[in-house]
Amino acid sequence: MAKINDNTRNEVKQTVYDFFTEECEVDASALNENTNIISDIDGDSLMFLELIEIFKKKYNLNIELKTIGKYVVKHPVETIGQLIDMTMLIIEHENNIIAFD
Amino acid sequence: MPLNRKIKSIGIIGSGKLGTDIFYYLLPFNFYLVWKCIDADECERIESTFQKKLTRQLKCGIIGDLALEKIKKSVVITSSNNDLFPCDLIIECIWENKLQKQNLFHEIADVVNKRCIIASNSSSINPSELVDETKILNDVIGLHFFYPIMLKNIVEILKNEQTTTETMITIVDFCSIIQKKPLILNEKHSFILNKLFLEVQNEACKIYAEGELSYKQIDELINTNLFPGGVFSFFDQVGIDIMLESVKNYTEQSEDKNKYQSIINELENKCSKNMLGLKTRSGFYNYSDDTDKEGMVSENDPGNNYVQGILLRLKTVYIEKARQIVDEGICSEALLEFAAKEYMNADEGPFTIARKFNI
Repeated sequence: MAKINDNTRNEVKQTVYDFFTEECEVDASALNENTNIISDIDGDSLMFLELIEIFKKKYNLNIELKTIGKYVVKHPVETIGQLIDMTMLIIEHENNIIAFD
Repeated sequence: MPLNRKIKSIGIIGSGKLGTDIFYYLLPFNFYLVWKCIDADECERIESTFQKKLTRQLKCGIIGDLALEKIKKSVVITSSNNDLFPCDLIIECIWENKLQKQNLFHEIADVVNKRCIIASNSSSINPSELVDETKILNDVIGLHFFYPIMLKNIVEILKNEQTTTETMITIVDFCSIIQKKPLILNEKHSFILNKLFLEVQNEACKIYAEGELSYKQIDELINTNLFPGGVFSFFDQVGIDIMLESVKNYTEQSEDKNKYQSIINELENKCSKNMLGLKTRSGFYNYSDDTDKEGMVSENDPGNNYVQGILLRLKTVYIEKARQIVDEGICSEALLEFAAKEYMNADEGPFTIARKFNI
């Protein structure tokens, strides 16, 4: 389980913004926490899974993609802000995220 | 001589959602991958995205320099069928249209090596319908992955009378290498998972047509009581035009040509208005306007008794179809329970629901 500190959210935010800027070829200034990943920047579930892989590696997380899949079905992620919030929960709770139903 | 031969090189034809997902899923398994796209422009787009992803994976420490070099040497992105020659297995995943797939199979028949297994990822067309056996001597099977592949640990393998034991052993071995559980089906009973959920989808369309519940209300009932994702939201994600093609194909395979008419009516209605789901930002739900993501019909309160009756109808069609599949010996109860849970990312499959509610 990774330690969360004041910088963690900023790091996560930066990684998410860098990822979508590159992957969706949009200007970083066009992104904010309310940006809808699908309807505003043409994101998709494969991008989401790739981002999760990046965070798994970055924070050495012990979490199954399947667990995240089940969590997302119950707590859909639409905006960049929601994605950052969910990533913070994953970093903090790993596989126990499923208990947050 | 061993019956199985090891698959070392794989051709993927098509760069849509599934083709892309299959390519990136197979990438870490050290196969030689040939990704065949429709033309040079598409190759350029795919190559650029691929390079971007590799650079990012290197930067994030997911792969190292050596792995990067190895991956680059083991991937060919091409628009030429001739590059498919060395492949031991080819997975077709182009648009869900029988004629287009037939044409493609005839095109590649001349260039593939004779021991190559040709597989179709079609979700609704049997592989034997795609080939003219006088022209294609290779073994042709169905290899139906579910999207997103990383989350769905099940693959439907479709075989027919012509499929050799050697091919089946090879493909089952391949599934084990790529960490997918195979659900082996005869073509007579193909696509059972889609057909299982089609019963619920068709019933949901009938219920909507009765006018008491909105898409969202029906989806919520299904979400809460049967499986996540709902029905109408699922159509939007898959693409309503793709769903329509698939349901028409299932109708062709069915003795009762009116069996899926309710679902066809709903899907045709959306297609005629170019409301194709997420890709057009509008389908059974509206994705453009933040004020209207609640479903496109005003919501009534039809009363609890009515809702409970509807729920029983949905559960019953789901469970009855699952029991029919098992009773006909198509698949064991345990495997169908597992496969249904995998497909829908559900905590409970149809048989657990049946026991829980004494249906």
